[in-house]
Amino acid sequence: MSPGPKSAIGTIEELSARYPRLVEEAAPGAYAAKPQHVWRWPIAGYLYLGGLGAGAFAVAVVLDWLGLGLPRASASLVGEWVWDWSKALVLWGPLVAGVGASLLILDLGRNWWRFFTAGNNLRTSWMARGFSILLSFIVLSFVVAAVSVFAPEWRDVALPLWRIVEVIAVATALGTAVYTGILLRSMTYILAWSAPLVPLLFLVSALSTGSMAVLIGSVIFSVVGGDAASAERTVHAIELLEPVLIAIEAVVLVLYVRSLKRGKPEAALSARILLRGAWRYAFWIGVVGCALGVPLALDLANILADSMVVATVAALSILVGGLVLRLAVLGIGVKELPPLYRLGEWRGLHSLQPGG
Amino acid sequence: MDGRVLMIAEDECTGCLLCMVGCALAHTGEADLERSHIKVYRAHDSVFVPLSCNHCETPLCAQACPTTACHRETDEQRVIIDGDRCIGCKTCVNACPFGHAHYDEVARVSAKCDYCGGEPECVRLCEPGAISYVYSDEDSCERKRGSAAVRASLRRSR
Repeated sequence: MSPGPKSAIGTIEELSARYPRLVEEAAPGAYAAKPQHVWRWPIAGYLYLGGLGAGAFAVAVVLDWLGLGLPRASASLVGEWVWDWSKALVLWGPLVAGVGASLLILDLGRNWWRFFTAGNNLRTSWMARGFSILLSFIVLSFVVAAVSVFAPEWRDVALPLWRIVEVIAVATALGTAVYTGILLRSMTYILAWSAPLVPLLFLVSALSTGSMAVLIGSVIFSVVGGDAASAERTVHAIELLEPVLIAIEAVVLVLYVRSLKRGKPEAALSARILLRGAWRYAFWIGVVGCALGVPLALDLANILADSMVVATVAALSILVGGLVLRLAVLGIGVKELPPLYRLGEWRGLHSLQPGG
Repeated sequence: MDGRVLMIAEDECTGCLLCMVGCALAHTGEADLERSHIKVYRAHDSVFVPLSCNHCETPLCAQACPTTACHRETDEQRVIIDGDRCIGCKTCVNACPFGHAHYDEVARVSAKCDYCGGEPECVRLCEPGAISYVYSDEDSCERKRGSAAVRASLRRSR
């Protein structure tokens, strides 16, 4: 391609020196598609912690319903005021989700203090709907956690009514876990995100990471002086659930990647970036290894070993893998190029990736 | 749509980039091409195409915006982002299929073409007349169809 004409402000070579992001060359014949770069680790952290907090809360409450939760462990807090510190170890969902929401606020622009207006457009915006769902979850789960920890006798006074509150809170938790995937799915033209399996993948991952958070809380409970037998029962219950969630997540992940590989060129590019490109180490080690393979192997080994240490290591591995999964999915988000952008060989006078 | 739209004639565009300079200056006070709302692309050696927001009738950016900072003004037939209400979440940037909404890292809000309140700077500065601001009726759309035919013939020649 011959050098371009001299524009009013310089040749292309001069422009590329002054604006390195502005002038790029596409490989001949290749699409100029590249992953998006506006949603990075703070958004991945928000999606991860929102799902983790929601999953942890839902699992902890359901285990309690089934009589498999941690027993009440009363201790004096101030004077005659006692608290149930066992619940403090497992009902940390709202705190974790709150930290995730803080990451979202951290990523905002100059009017970040107007974040409360993020729920204005409930009619069409999944970001707005999710903000409302997340806020509902944080408030309700915080109420459940606070009462369970600091005023457990209130629950005993009106248990049926309390169960209704817990059911609604668990529903908002599951809604939060699914919403993290639906938010990405609403970005129609980023094909790696709008794949139909993304919400299911994130839901299963949220339950998997959340159950591991509850497991770790139970292990801490037994270590710091709680009823070890009860803690072990809770850990065993979660260890029964864990391989099921891992298997489901593995199947969904395979189907998701397969759908990308067989999709449009930008979707196939996303799959290539994930499997063989810039995100290959994160995917094979972080997701396939840490989230799936390692914990499954440890779980099987722990059938014989029955070790809290092994269970904890498996849990930590899943927690790492869940975060890497969110980072990878965000990182492979390539926007589908409009037909005009594919015309000929694009050598852009601006970034070749739509979306700045 | 009865309003006015930018009409691009890429066979007239020389790639001088004055439209980008003018747009950036008008909106930011600086001739920073990265902050321009109109972008000039090049295909082949001498085909330049200035592209800016299409101001869609069903704008995906506005649908995705959680605060309604990005919205369609039916009176003006344009889609704008209110910089004072935008929280910079960048949802519109990912939602737009064409990549015209972009995140201004200096101003820390999302931004896009707003037709400069009815007097587009890019139109004023375009000496070759590649950009015009016309009513989107039958006559002006005929020029669009002509341009589309040029693009289609370029594609066939590849």
